[in-house]
Amino acid sequence: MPSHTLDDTVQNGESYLDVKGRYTGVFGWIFSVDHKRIGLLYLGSVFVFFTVGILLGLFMRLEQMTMGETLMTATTYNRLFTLHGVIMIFLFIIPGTAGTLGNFFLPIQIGAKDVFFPRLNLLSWWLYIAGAVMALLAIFTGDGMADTGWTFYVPYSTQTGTNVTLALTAAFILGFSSILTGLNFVATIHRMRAPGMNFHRMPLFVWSLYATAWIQVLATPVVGITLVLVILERTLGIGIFNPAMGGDPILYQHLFWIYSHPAVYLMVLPGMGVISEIIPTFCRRTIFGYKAIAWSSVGIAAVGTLVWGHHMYVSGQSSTASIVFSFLTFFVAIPTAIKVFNWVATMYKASIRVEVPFLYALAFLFHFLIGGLTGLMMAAISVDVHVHDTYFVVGHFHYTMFGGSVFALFGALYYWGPKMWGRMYHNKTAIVALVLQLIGFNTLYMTMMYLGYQGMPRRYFDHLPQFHDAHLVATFGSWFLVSGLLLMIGTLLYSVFRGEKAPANPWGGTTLEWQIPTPPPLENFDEIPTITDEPYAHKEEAV
Amino acid sequence: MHENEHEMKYSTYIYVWLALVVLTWVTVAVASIDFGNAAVFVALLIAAFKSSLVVAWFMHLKNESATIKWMVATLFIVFAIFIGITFTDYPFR
Amino acid sequence: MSNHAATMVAHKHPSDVEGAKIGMWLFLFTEVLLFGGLFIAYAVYRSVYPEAFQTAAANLDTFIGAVNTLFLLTSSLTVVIAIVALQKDKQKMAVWMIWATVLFALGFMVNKYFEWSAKIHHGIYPGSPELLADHSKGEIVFYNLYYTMTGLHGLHVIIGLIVFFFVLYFIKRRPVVTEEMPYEILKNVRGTSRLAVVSEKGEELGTVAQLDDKVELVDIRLTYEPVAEKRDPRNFVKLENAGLYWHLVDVIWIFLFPLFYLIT
Ligand code: HEM
Ligand SMILES: [Cu+2]
Repeated sequence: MPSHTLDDTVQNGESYLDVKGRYTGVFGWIFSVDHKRIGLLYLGSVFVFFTVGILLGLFMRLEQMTMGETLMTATTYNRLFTLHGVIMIFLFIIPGTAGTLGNFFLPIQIGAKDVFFPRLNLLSWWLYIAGAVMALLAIFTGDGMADTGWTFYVPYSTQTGTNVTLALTAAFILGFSSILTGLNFVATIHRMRAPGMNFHRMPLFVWSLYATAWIQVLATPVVGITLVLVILERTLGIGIFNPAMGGDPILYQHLFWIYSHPAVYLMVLPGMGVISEIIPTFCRRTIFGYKAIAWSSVGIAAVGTLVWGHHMYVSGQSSTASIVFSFLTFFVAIPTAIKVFNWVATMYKASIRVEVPFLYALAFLFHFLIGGLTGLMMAAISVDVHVHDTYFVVGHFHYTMFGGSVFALFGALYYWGPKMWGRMYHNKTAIVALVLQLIGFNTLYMTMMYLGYQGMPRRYFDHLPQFHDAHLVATFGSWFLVSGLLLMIGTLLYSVFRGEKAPANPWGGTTLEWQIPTPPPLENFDEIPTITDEPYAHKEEAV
Repeated sequence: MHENEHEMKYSTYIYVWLALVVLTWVTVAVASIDFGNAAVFVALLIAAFKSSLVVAWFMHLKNESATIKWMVATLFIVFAIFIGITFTDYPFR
Repeated sequence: MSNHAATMVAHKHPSDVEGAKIGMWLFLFTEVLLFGGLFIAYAVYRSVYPEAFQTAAANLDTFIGAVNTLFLLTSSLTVVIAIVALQKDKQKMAVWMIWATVLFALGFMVNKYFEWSAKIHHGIYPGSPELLADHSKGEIVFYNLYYTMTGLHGLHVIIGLIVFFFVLYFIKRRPVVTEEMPYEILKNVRGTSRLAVVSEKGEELGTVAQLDDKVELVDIRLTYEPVAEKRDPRNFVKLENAGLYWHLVDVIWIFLFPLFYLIT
């Protein structure tokens, strides 16, 4: 690190929030090419959709509270889980950490003034908005929102009368937006690191973004063309997946999962990066096994491209393929476990300062452990054939994506929020929100996994009597969860506008973002620092 | 900006173009020979050779940094993996 | 111009060619993988219907395909020649070569047009009754792939054409360089300052404007004639990137040609 002067008055640069540019007001935001403003633009838009997604989830749970058709018809339920899935995946979680915190902190953490292509960065946010608007249009035009599920499997997606074409176009555009972010990050990390910051001195969050960026660039185009093929079948009758024209519907699944399995790592890797930042800061010591954690991000990204067929055990793919995919899938556990063990080793016998971000990191570990282990169960073909397309799967992926990635994102917002908007959060409310979330989350999704194991299929708007009690419990859980989430969003909003002023380095963090004023000045650094040490060298240890 | 880069010459590119034209002729010519199942292989081999000429000279990859070369290699490895693993399915149905 | 202008330029164009190249190559990767998905589909269906693919491929006109291959290869050559010419400051030559590229690309599209219309005339197009009734499933897949892949490729040729027109426009126009003075600088100097043009020796050539304290924004604009020694160097980068894109379109065709026309 350049210096360990942590007092608040080191530099006098004007905060990026106060700087006036060519435009003022809203235009000063939506036309700004400052990576920090773009990060906050993403954060705001992403959370709007998250809130919508939460409410959709809540409605689905309300329907399942009773048997038979109470709140909505079967078709409405189908549209709801499709919209919920599309929003949560494409509009919330994929841009959720990389687009928001990645944009904000990647340049700062490597000692740069901005990303490599600032204008492209703004374009990627605009494409995100364009895709989002199109997804919303799909709800209100034609025959309404698609009812295919977020996976858009053929042949149903080529035949249903609902607005699949528009929804697919939206997903295509969102994919393009994500590609641009990835491209930008790779160029930034390769070209804009401060002098002295070689790859092995980069913060682990940057490593995780690097791995993520490669997935974005290399996997997204494949799903892009796949969705285009479905559009072409719907509009021009080119039936590449249509069995009546010699096509193979399973090929769609291959092409879809070639992207969408790596995409789950695209969702979780930045979250893991966040955890790798939070843990050393609050354990007040350097991270254990830096290189192992760094390279395991790349390892996860690499192995992640080999395993897509584990979504297709019951699709009719050859058993050879299933066996190969099953075998390869188990390997993903290795780099993942490497990370977990190193995090735990960092905590071992550390003098830990327990704050909300750290609690979220623990919640992440707990949920991700359950999500990961149930994932291993389903990697085994024999188990998966039994639980495929049941609530077990739904429970599993909510544990990994929601309990894992999204809880990491929440932790990151408490961790970095003070730096981003210069104000602290109200501690007690934050903790109450977390407790509500934990109770609600585990009641809801643990019960879902239980239901699935008993045979409750996913994507059904109704259930059999023997599942009723558990469904009731799950719905109760969802109420706790949703109140916890809304309370948290409220807490964060309050902190943005009303919170106490934050010091430059409230947690004693060692990475570069903590060495600059709060909120950061327009170009982050008065003078580009020279890096001479590893990112997590704590003073106490250095002495 | 680019002045300090390698000297570019028209003639080199014309030779490359000639090679490409000749290879196009070759690939059309050998198409009429019956290689059986190897026909695809031969055709793809020639195509791969032609495209590496284009990539190396016309797109001057050969003068680019090691980083960019590694990136291109990564692209091809990933694509090979995609195709390779897909073929654990179809031939074994 | 003042020192400030110099800082501004340095700040706005960190002339890191390598980074810009990384960006361009990564963009090309996404194009490769976009087609990559289709090549995977082709590989799969070819392995499922080997005979039907051979029968169907025999019905495509190898001659037209070969001519189109030559068109694209030659257009790739003219692009690189244009790039070298621009580097050697032979602007006329560069412009001619770009026009030649455009011509070959148009030739390619015209050929394609006749090829497609002949097929469509014979009732062979996706979903046509003739195709569905008289052809085996493998052949139907072949034609569906043929139309999708060559269609997407044709779309890329058209995009390439548009890009070249833009490049031509940039090369020909009188270059204007506009720089915005960053607000942090402006807010410290406005009030009593004036913006002047200063020669290399430090002599003032003229005052451009007085900066009172209400100025919110200063754009500095420079227009110059495109004479040989004073051309906008950014045109070179533009042409080079257009060239990279064009060569990629060529590379994809190098694979499409044997896969659709030759393996009979
Ligand atoms: C309050 C929060 C949430 C609730 C109550 C909720 C509830 C649900 C329910 C009830 C389903 C449908 C189950 C079925 O019938 O098949 C579902 C599906 C799904 N959820 Fe959530 N969820 C929540 C948050 C999230 C989050 C944060 C994510 C992702 C980051 C997510 C991703 C998904 C996905 C991808 C599906 C599958 C959609 C499909 O089948 O096409 N959910 N969720
Ligand atoms: Cu998967």
